[in-house]
Amino acid sequence: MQTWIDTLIVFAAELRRALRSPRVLLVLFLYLAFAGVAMLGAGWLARQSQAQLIAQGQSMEALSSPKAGFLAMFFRPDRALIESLVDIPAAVLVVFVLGRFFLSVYVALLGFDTVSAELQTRSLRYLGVRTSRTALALGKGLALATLVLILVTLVHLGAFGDALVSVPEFSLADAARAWPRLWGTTVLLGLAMAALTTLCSTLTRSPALALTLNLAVLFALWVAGIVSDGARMMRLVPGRESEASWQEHLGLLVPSTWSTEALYPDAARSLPAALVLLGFALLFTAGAVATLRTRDL
Amino acid sequence: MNGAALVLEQVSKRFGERRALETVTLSVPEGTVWGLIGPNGAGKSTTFNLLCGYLRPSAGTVRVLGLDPRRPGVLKGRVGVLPQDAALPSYLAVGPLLSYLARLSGLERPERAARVALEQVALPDVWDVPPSSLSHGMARRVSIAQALMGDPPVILLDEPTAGLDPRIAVEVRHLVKGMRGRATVLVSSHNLPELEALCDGAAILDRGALVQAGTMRELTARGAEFRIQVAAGNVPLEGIRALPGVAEASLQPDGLLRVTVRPEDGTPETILNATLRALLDAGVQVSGVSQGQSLEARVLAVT
Repeated sequence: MQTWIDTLIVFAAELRRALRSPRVLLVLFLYLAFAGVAMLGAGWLARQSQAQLIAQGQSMEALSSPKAGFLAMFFRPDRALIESLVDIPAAVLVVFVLGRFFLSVYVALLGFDTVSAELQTRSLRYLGVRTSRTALALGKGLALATLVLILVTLVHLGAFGDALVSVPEFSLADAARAWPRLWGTTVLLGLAMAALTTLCSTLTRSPALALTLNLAVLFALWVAGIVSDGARMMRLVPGRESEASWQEHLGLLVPSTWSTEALYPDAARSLPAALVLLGFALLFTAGAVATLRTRDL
Repeated sequence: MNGAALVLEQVSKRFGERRALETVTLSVPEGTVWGLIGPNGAGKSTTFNLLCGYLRPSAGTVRVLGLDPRRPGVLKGRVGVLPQDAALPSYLAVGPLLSYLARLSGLERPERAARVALEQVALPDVWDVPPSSLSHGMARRVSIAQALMGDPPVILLDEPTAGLDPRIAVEVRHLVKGMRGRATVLVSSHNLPELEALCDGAAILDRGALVQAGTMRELTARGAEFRIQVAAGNVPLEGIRALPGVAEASLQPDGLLRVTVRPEDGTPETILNATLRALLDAGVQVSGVSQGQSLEARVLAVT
């Protein structure tokens, strides 16, 4: 019980610290601005294409084909998945895709020093004699996760709000159906990345090294994801169908692969994927707690 | 207050190939003020950090109030620590920071505890000041304040007066002295005269090993030896040697008469008085008297 009380005390102090940190505020602003520009750009392009089609006397359905190609490229060439996404406005999908590719880097920039900076200056010693290291790791990780939750929610609110205003076919009911899949998946992916960042921050006394390590892990995950996607695509080539190779199985270790799985409309497929994403978050958090508990302060 | 508050049993600590501590056994009695002494690299900070739970011993047992300091949260509210080279967390102003630390220590009225602690170190006006804006000495006092908050039963102070101006250093020494009997205080310091004046006992470390530990009286041989500075006159050396309780007397060229006593033949004070009487009767002029060695001389002799 005491550990949970202390976790909340550390969480409150860490969140207050983060919301007063110029660097954290700048990173939050940059992500919001980045997402905002991409969202507005995608919305403008979609409206231009729509206007051109109408001017040429073509039906709206003609727009679905290039959009499906875009979705297949950024998600997965799978009919069930594409069909479930194709009616969602481009601005909303762009925000989701940005989250999949860039959120992890922003999370690393937000939290790489959350523990490592206090190990470097040894200021963690003032806390370590007063509470358990479990409470310290959990409180700091929770504060970072909360920042990610706020960021993802703000970006998705903006994207859904813009889509509701600018795309007449996108109703409130459509938004309510799409919101849990897109927002929920991004939040789970963000939580896993926040936990990974906290873990990297506990592994070293140097904030610069913690950031480098974090980015290296993200790069390795990105490469593993590309190798896995490439192997999957090769299997789709007619005449080359075979059993899934080990390269394709590499994707099982990559959280963003599971974030694609979590988007499927079929709950039997998306819920386990969401649980795996949650599992990544818990695994990395457990790693951070174990590292901080065993290391010298 | 009888038992040992701080105990190290056969404790060793290695950092890779380097041995920082080697089978050190030490206990500090409850309610006393003890010093941790030794040259640089002697193992003082390692010992200190083991007691705070910052480090895990490679071998042996460390106990603080009978508890393993590495057990999660076990030191909460029991131990106040002034680490030597740890910067104060800079993300909160001094007052909110101390309140936060007090809350983590489980104190009932954290803000009040923080204010009381700041008044103890004569810094009631820095409540809203960020720690990064404080001078070195003021930051040190804030660090001392956080260690004293809530009157913990064990206080570990690493170089408490380093960087403080003389007036504040005196106040800090008074604070530490005032804790005798109420708390067990371990002070690590290079300032040996300060420790001699402050401590009931000390442990002397050298190259990772404990070379001597005991009460200040034992360390300085205060009950076994005294020295008299002779200004003028002929010292009746044979007469002094013949006095009851005197084991040995020798006169150095600079006029320092060194007398070793047999405590079983009388109290050191009785033997000192008899020696002074013999000197004065012989017309010798005395300019100074001191009991035992200085702690500094003792440390220099054993390290």
